[in-house]
Amino acid sequence: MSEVLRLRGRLSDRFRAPALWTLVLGGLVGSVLVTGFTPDQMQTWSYAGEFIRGMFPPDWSVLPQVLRGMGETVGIAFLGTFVAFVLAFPLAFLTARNITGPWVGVPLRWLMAMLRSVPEVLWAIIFVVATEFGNIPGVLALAAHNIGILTKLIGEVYEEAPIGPQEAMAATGAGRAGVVWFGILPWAMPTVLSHTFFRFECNIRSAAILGVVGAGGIGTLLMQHRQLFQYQMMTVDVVGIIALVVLADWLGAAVRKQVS
Amino acid sequence: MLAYKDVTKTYTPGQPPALLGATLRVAPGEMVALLGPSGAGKSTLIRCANGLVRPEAGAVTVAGQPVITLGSAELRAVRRKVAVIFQEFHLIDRFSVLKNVLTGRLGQVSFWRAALGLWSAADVAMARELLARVGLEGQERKLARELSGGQRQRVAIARAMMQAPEILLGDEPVASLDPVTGRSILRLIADLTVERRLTTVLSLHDVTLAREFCLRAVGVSGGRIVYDGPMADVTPDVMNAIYGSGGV
Ligand SMILES: Nc1ncnc2c1ncn2[C@@H]1O[C@H](COP(=O)(O)OP(=O)(O)OP(=O)(O)O)[C@@H](O)[C@H]1O
Ligand SMILES: [Mg+2]
Repeated sequence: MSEVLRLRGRLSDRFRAPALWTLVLGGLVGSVLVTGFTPDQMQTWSYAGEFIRGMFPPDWSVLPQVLRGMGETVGIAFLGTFVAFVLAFPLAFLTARNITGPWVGVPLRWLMAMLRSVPEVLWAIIFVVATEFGNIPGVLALAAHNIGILTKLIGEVYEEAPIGPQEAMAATGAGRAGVVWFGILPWAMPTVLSHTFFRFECNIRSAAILGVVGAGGIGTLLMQHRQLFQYQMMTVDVVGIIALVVLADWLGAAVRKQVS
Repeated sequence: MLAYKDVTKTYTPGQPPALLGATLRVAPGEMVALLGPSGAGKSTLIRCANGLVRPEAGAVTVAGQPVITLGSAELRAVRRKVAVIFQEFHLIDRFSVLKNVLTGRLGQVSFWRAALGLWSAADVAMARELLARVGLEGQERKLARELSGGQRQRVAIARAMMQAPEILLGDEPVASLDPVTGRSILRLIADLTVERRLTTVLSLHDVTLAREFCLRAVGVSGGRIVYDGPMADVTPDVMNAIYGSGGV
């Protein structure tokens, strides 16, 4: 390591601890002020006990509906991921700097950044208003957000592809398409698929909540039961959501193990 | 026939050129060793011959056609005639040996046929023949990543021959291999050069190996061609001129 770097390392070491403390303390004071979170507000927690008591015993009669809702949620997540992948896979060729020039790449990267900067829930609200309640706006919301994410992730995989095989393909006289298809894709595909599965996993979690704003799946039941004060049924909804999240975790772990 | 005339290439303005006024002719059936220290410009010289590097001055001619001024479609046509093998082989690791060889045909077949794997029976037969020629009969279905270094370079050579090239370029084709394997690869290249009347140029850092296989040497130093003549005349003085006083 160069002398300059080592000196910089030592300097920042000396300042690191005080800086960290200032940040944490300042953050605490600031957050309490901003949120108005004070101990006497804990009084409202007495309602919590009542509410939780009201959730038991769970009303398992809604189980068939909850299972159906869970199925819808997984379906929304799958379709949302699928649509996003089908669009992102080719779009990523246009955002990868080593494949497409800046005239197309830069505006497209901006568009993708905008798509993914809008959270799924906000997309869901927009699509529910624009279309109707139900599963379709859920699928569209996940697709819109995830096109932005997947195009970026996949485009970056293309960019990282080693240059050697690409040059070898170009040297045979292959055109641009040939260079990309044979020089980049075989190397990129496993990572591309593993990113896509990771997003599917995330989308199961997101889809479970989207129903709360009317975009289908098990969240719809949660919202309905809460509005009708059917807390014992809501318990089953919550169990269903937890089961989905556990399922997503397990699925993701299994796929990652396969890929690596 | 491969010809360079006064070829100059500067990668970074303000830096000394990687290649300065290089002039060289290599005839069919000839196998030339490019010698020179690291950074001399050997790779640059090789890569100018198929447009992987575009020099700013001079002319490179492949089979009578100028390379430097070509548009991309014409450049592709020239590249079909110029096969390249690399130090790190640059195979597609996840493809089978046979499919790797078939990619040598990418300059000739339409992209869609290649992408869909619709190779013609003639191409597949040719790929199998070439694999037998390089000593890999029966290994067609193995994945490239399952092969040893020497076997990989043999696949790369078969892929190069799949282009039915007039010119064969090798950038340190045996530098990643042990001497015994390297020798067998150079033997194969030398035989193919004679059989197919290829115009072959190889950069080699192992001068002993170069002496065994090449009758002609071209010495590069600081971007200039400082020696061009029979390998037999590469005396210690010539070695000094190419590699500097540190050379052997
Ligand atoms: N892509 C590049 N960008 C900038 N400079 C480069 C590039 N490629 C080569 N150079 C420079 O050009 C000069 C010649 O490099 P070249 O790779 O042709 O040498 P070489 O003889 O092949 O060396 P080696 O034996 O180490 O492979 C070197 O000074 C190198 O730093
Ligand atoms: Mg080199």
